[in-house]
Amino acid sequence: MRFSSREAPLVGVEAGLDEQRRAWVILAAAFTCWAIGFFIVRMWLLAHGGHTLPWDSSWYAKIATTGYSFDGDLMRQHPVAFLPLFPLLVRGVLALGVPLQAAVLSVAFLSTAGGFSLLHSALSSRFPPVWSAMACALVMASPFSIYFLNGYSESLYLLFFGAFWWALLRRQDFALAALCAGLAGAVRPFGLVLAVVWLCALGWHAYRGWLSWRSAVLTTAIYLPLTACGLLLVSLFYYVKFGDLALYRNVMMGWSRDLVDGMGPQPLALFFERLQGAFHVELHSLLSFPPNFARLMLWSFVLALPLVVRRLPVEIALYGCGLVLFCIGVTMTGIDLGRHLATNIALPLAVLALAWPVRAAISTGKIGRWRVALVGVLFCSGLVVQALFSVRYFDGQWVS
Amino acid sequence: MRYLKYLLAVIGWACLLAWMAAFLHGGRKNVMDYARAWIKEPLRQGQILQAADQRLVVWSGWWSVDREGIRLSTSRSPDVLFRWARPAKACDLSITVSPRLAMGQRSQPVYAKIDDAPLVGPIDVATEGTYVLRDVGSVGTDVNVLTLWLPEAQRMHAVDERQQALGLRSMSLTCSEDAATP
Repeated sequence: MRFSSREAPLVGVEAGLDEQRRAWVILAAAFTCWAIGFFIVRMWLLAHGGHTLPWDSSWYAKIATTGYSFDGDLMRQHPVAFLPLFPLLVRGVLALGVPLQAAVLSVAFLSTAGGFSLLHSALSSRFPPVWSAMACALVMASPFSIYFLNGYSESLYLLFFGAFWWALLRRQDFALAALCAGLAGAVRPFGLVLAVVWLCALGWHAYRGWLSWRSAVLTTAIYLPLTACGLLLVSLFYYVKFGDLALYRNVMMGWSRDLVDGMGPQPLALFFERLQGAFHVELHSLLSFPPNFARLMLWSFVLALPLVVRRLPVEIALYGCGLVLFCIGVTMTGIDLGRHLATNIALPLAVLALAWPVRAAISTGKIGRWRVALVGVLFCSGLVVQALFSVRYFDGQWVS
Repeated sequence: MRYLKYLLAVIGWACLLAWMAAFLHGGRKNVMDYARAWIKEPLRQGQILQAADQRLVVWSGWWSVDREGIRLSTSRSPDVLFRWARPAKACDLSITVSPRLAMGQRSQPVYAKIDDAPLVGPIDVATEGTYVLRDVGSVGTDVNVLTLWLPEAQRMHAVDERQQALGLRSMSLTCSEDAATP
């Protein structure tokens, strides 16, 4: 497995200036097509009675304008179930005199644009730049990527997520990566997965001899708490304001309506029951709603991961596995994280789609016409599926 | 730049230490703490709890109250959190329910238990009426958890995991013996 380091020069750095420029043009073009498509669908839906800030984005708008409140009744839905960094940024934009809807959507839009730029830059250190740009384009075309532009905090998570990979893969700066993982945790709880990836990457560097074990241990001792600083700060904020460090978890349990551990099968049996249930659900949703074929792709990726993991950079494979385990683990407690899994698993999937079939081609940097055509078809069909998904989603049907 | 990194490390450790201090200070609550604060009044012997009541108990699990005042459980193991005035044991549970039967299904099995007691049942709920489950467990003065277990609950929609399980009109508990009495 090729692993960039100071000893093994980065593929992206070796690429010529023209190729790098071409990659940025591809990325910008893909982003523009995606954003225009998204806003056309939104405008059409608004003209047909849709909401500007549907579903959870209205919670963020509410937090940004009126702050947090909690009356102690866990069985009601409260704004404390939404982590504060995204609404804090929206509040900052509101202070500039921007209208509420525009503030929410502009923070989401800018975060997404920044996130994809950083992600592209990070992936370029492992793959030829054009490949990296195409991987990002495939992520954009994933049906669940509507959550990046629709005023959810997924967009800000993407920014810190991209910054994390940029710091880790391109800069190889573990302190900066730890900070990004920490900030991601203040946006979405599965930012903690990045903390685990950070720790494993450090161990991997030491194992491969790119870093001495002494440095690895020292870096861990110094920066490990930073990787969780976001969630710790949020927890402390809730403690100061509402007297409970675990308020987020408690409110999430209330949100999912199950305050008491469920009866029934024990964990292992429950795992298989959930798996069986998930396949049943997938099958039904495929038959009832064709765009959900995208979900089937995600599932097949998850199942095939052990077989193909060798084709992925170690850290990205770790992230994919960690995310799956985190979401399954949390779902066991009754809180459904299916949407989060679906949104974030797209990156390993996209990298895999490009890197897996002809691995040898990566070293030459030549992508081949047939593969460009395939990516183009995938991208366009992805946007069509996404548009259908958007219509269903904004039409009031909760499909996640 | 180097000092900035030291500053970041200090921030990380400061967060961790502050969090640990708050944790050791008892800053962490669980759902039972909230239930304790929320339920002000204990249930009484034989008191009939209407399904629409939101004051005496906490309904955990996916429940919804329809226009007739029937509480529909959409969980396979819904819970009812309540308080009791004095410790007591050998409690009988009386429930007035209407079954939610799938096509071809004749009755629905219902089990129940309080806290860590073994499950009692099944009773087969075939028609609307009042059913009694004997000795479902003991109760204390703290928050008690009555768990219903409905193994053959029907999936409500194929695209989610909620179960359409039971329509509950009312319930009551009768505890025959005071646990404090020797």
